[in-house]
Amino acid sequence: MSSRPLHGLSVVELGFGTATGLAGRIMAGYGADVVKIESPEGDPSRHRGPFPPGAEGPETSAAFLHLHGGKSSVVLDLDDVGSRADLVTLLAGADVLLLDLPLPARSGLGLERTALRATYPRLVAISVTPYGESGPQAGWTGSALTEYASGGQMSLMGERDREPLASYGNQAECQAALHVYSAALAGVLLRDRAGSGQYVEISVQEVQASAMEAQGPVAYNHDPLPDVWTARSGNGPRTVWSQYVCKDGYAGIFVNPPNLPGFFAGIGHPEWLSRAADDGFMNGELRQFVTAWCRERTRQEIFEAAIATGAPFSYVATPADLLGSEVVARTGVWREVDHPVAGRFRVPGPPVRAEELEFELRRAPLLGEHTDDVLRGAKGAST
Amino acid sequence: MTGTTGPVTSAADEVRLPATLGRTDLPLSGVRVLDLTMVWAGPFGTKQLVDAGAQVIKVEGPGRTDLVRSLTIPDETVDRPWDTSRYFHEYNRNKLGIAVDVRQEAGRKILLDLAVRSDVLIDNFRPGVLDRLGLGWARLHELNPRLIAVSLPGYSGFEPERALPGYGPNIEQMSGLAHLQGYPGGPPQKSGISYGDPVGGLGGAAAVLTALFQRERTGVGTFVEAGQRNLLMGFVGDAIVAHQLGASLARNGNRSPSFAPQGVYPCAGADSWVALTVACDEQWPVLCDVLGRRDLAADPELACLPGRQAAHDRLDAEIGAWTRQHTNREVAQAMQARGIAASAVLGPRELADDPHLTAREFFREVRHPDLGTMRLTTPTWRFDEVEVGLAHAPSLGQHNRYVLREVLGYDDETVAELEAAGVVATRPANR
Repeated sequence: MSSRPLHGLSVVELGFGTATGLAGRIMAGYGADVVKIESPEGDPSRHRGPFPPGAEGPETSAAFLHLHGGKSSVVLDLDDVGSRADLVTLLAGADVLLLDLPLPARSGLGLERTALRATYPRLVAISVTPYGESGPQAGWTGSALTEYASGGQMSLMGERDREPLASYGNQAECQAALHVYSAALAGVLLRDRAGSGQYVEISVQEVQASAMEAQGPVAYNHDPLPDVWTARSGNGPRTVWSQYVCKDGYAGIFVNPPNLPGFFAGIGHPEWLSRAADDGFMNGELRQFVTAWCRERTRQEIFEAAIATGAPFSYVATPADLLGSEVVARTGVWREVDHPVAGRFRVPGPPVRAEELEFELRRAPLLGEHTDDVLRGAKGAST
Repeated sequence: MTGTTGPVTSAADEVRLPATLGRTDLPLSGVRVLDLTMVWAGPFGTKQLVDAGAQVIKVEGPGRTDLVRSLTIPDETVDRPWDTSRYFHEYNRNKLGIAVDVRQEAGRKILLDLAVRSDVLIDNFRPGVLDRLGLGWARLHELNPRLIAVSLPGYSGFEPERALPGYGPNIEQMSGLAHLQGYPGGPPQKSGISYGDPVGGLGGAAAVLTALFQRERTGVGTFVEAGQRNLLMGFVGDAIVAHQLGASLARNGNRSPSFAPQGVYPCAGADSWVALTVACDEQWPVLCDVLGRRDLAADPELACLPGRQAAHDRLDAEIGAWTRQHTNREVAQAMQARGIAASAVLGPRELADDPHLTAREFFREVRHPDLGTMRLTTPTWRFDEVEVGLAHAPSLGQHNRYVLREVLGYDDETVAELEAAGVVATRPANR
């Protein structure tokens, strides 16, 4: 028997987005049986890429290969009555539903809040929407870009003289994914204690608006907020809190007051610590020095200085850097998968390191690969 | 001098307990969390747990108050400014608070006694600190086999990065995320918030839930390292896979290879912006209609995605010319009315008065003895029919007596001795 922590947990994922997809992936890795419902065309992430050069197709999208590892793929055409009946069968045997269909699409499928609670009394349903299920914008649609714009975090990202900037991919929903995951497990704990299913609503906007560092709590209380706190922060607001060009890429010098001794030691001038209170020096001469110091060094040399002196220096790592890193590998993060179309490659595995929390990940499924097996099993279990 | 004892803000406030304490109907009712974290990542993670009903005991010391207690103070002239930080209240609401001087043997014993009686211990200390406090994993596991311990490093517990300090932007760089984001043709760009922190906190909370499931099956707790770098790598996994498949990814700003036009456009007013996405070919003529530009809709070159991608600069100019005439909320409203994804780029001030968030009661009012009515955000996991009451974060040492008596079972005489010796305190050591 599997010793994985979520072994025995049955999850149905009926969603298009990153929040449900990534949460379902982590559940699958920790041993849950995750069934991903796909339309006959396949999940949108199958068509999003990035794709290998010259090999664009529904089985080669890196987004799908990453997000949906470890799951079973069941194709259901929810416009079809028979498929809708299959969905009912699947949900009747599930512990958890991860759902991000737009609210209007749910009503015809019996997936509204009240219907779910009435029909599946032991189901823990996690409902993700861009803006939540009440309020004037409840029915609004979203994209990765607009979701990021809605929650506050985009307003602080980018250069001041340019437009606000999105982060990579869909970071708003990546954050939401961890909420979805934890809320689902918390919901199962409550269900098992209370004896009744649960419905949990998660708004992607609220996920971000509740993670606005110090700016959020100050602004939300209408306290005065310095403009510097609400302006886009760029890459280099202060000498000791900036990204710099180095010999082979970019380095980061992000230093707080307790790290100043390490910082000055790291750049070879521990004696300058005595000038740390001199703003003219810190933002003038020192900036010029650090700029030149970084330009003359490789990323690795800068990182070695960090290791030697305990200074919070870093560098902009690429996927190749991460895949080649010995220390990253030692954390046990990688899992290798062998995909019949895309080939063999490594994926990030467990989100955290814990020897006793076993995490395994099958390759991402082919479209509809498990439809027959899963439906046969579900129908057998329900009779 | 160690912290002095004395009245907290008031006798009534000392005994005021977190709103969820004693509840048995919440998801994590009955789960006790010993929270040794400070600043943002750890407290953000334990906020998720306390919002779900866990009993979270936040441990500070007279010489080690949470650093954010010194930030975002509305009025420095009040008697106890360190109890009024907005930043602190948001992320530490509903927690029990004790202040223990761990330099004293009796203080370290309190921590150990608490660890023995807890389900979860969570920390973001530098390596070796827990061992020095007598709270190393081996010892804790022996004394309390059901304990789950979660550590929140920036990187990992392995050399050479084990002791390396890393802040949000450092971690963002080292995780691969920064490499992927930026204006087209420009350098990598860091996030506006210290992004590794909330992700680390959420990862820590997720680890607690996973380990609780494991413990249900095995009866035994486990040690978990929730490192920010590895968590963020999971957020760029598609790029890591893509690299191995031979695809190269360029930083593309606000554009998308799958949708066009997509961007962030200027609106009426200073530094006012709207984000919008035309998600499919069918939405393109709809956008043109909203813009009043049937000429664009009639252009066959623009009917399909590749044509719009090729003309993206021109389309951005056309869209921007229209959006500049309207406020960002007007644009979003007009687009959403036609089914096109759009949102004003909302900053913290705009969020504070956002009609939608207000209608959803995202902001909840609680009373504070010095601050009066203050606002906290509502729990992000909205369980149906489960009301979670909120209360302000603890003043320093507010629940010393409650924790010592009710959680640890110390008698009144012992508590008095600990107070007299400054082992527990209610003011910072230097105040």
